[in-house]
Amino acid sequence: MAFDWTFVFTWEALLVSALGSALGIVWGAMPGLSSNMAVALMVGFTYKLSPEIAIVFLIAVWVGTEFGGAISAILINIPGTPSAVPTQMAGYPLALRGEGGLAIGTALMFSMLGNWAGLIALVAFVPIMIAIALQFTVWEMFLLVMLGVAISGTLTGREKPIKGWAMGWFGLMIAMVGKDLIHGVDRFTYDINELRAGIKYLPVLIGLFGLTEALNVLSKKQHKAVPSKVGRIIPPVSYIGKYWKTALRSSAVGTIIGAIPGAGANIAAFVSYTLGEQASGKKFSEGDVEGVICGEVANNANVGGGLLPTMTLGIPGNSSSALIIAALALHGIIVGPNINHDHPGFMYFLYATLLVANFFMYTTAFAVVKPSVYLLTLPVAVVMPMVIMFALVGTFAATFSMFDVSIMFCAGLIGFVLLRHGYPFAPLILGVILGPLADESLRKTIWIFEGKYEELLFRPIGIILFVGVIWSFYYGIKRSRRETKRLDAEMAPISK
Amino acid sequence: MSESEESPPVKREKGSSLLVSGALVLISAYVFIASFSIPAPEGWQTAPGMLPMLLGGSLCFMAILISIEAIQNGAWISLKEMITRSGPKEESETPLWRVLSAAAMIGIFYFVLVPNLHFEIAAAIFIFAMTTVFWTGSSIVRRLLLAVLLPFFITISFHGFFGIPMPGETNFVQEVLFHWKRQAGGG
Repeated sequence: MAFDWTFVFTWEALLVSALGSALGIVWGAMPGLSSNMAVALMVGFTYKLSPEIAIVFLIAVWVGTEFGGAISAILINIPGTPSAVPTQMAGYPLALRGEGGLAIGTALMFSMLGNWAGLIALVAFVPIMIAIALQFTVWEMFLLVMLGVAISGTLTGREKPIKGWAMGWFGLMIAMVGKDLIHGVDRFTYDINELRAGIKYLPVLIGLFGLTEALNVLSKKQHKAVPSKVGRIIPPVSYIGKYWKTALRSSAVGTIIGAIPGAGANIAAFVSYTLGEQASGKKFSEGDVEGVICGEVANNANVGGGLLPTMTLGIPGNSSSALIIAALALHGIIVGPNINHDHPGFMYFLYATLLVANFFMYTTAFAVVKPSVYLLTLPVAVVMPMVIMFALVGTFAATFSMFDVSIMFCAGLIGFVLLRHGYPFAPLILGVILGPLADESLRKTIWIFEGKYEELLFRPIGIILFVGVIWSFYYGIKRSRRETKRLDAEMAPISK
Repeated sequence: MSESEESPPVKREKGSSLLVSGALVLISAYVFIASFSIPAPEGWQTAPGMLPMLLGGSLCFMAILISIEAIQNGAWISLKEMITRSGPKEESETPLWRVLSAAAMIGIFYFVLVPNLHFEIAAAIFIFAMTTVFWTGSSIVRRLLLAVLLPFFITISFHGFFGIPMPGETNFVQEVLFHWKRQAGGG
């Protein structure tokens, strides 16, 4: 299927992008509704739309939610999305001083810069990444999957990376259910017809991001939120001159972390915030627009960065781009090294889509910010039943199967238990999506290189990837030990 | 005062974390064993059970390590206290009844109400039940109004405008559209 980038500038696409951005901002602003949840629930609804319109809409929603999370973070001290936590830490004290609007305006202005940085990196590095990816054989593809899952586990598992790796392995194991791709042999299907096609990843994603988060929010006692006054929104232009270095550093952090498989916007935002504090010598948690800039630029640059491995390797850079893969697959578009060959013009179409979504995020935000403040106090008991209904309708619309609804329900319940015990989702999602590729690549490698396995040792890209997998485990273990020692040292005076 | 009374309580790992890692051990061990019985039509090189076997074995190892770490952090003691209900009583920020009732209501909505009733009726019952349990302090009129209006808004938006099929037997919007189309066709 060929794509024409000029389609993005038709009135129909522009309208959809504007609506998607507005919806994303409002969605992201509401506490407990994350960007992953927004994209997950909207994927099913795009199945009747043309692929072009579906992509325009989902990208706009994604870009919008990344900024929207800042609104509730700053005004009511509850981050709309996990990546908005640094924004909350630096922005809420500003709101208490009556500068909430200014903090939101600054977040908005620099979110746009972050998006631009991600987009520029995407345009610059896609040809290089595709050229490298085309050199990959099945062996390298297998190692790439393992590298993605291992790195994701290391980064998201934090002080307990083993939980991250276990989730990655668990995801890969889920993907083993169904007929195998080489011989058509049933695996773990127990004569259930629906399982023969395998466990589809879209219901799993909707369950994890929709139902799990709904259960998580409903399980907590609610405290009534009182929004701070918004005040003036438009920030002084002098901020660009004052904070350009911060913006540049945060853009680089957001883009690079985005390009690492499975490392999402929340990691990018935290790393950027910490680096910002170290560089400036300030304590952002006392209220500082620079802290808001660090968080917002990084999580928005993460969008473009996350799309880089997604589009060129078929390995999602973060959870939202995993959902974009699911949405594209729903419309028959399989991303990866052959994207330019299989779908000519798609990458230019994507660049144009990001550009337009970025423009509308900025313009619609000024119109949407003040009204969305009223939604901040909407009780979760009203919002969450809607999310639960969207999860049902979205799953059913994408697959027409109540069996998949039951998969989504189970994924939601299991996800809730895992979430409560500190098991991260990102590696699990990578595993579920990449499992079939890992399975096919490993077995083909063993078959192709039978009797000449030593040749695998002389493939430079393979060696780099293999070292990367080992390094990822080593780094995870080392960091875990360091964290344990630090915690022990902190606890020692208390227990004495 | 004894020494134990003077020192602050040590933060122990939750007992349920041991149940979760234990479940992972069982599932992965099962996958490891079961993968040996998956037929391999063309030898071990392309055996469909190879990756599940490797994954099951290594996940089982990881889950055992997680369990050991949890036991070292006091999860076993917490679990025993949880079973015998002898531990210190703390008021949880996330009471269990909230999770269980939400999960039960969602299950009933998805698998009992939706397949047997019109979507709007099923959704209305669900919303009314959810708001009654979780929206404390709201008036019954408000909850009823929400329960009636929200399902129609959702069905009209998704089915009426976008043509997205709704789960369950049928819905009022679908029936109305069907009659309109039939009348238009007949006319």
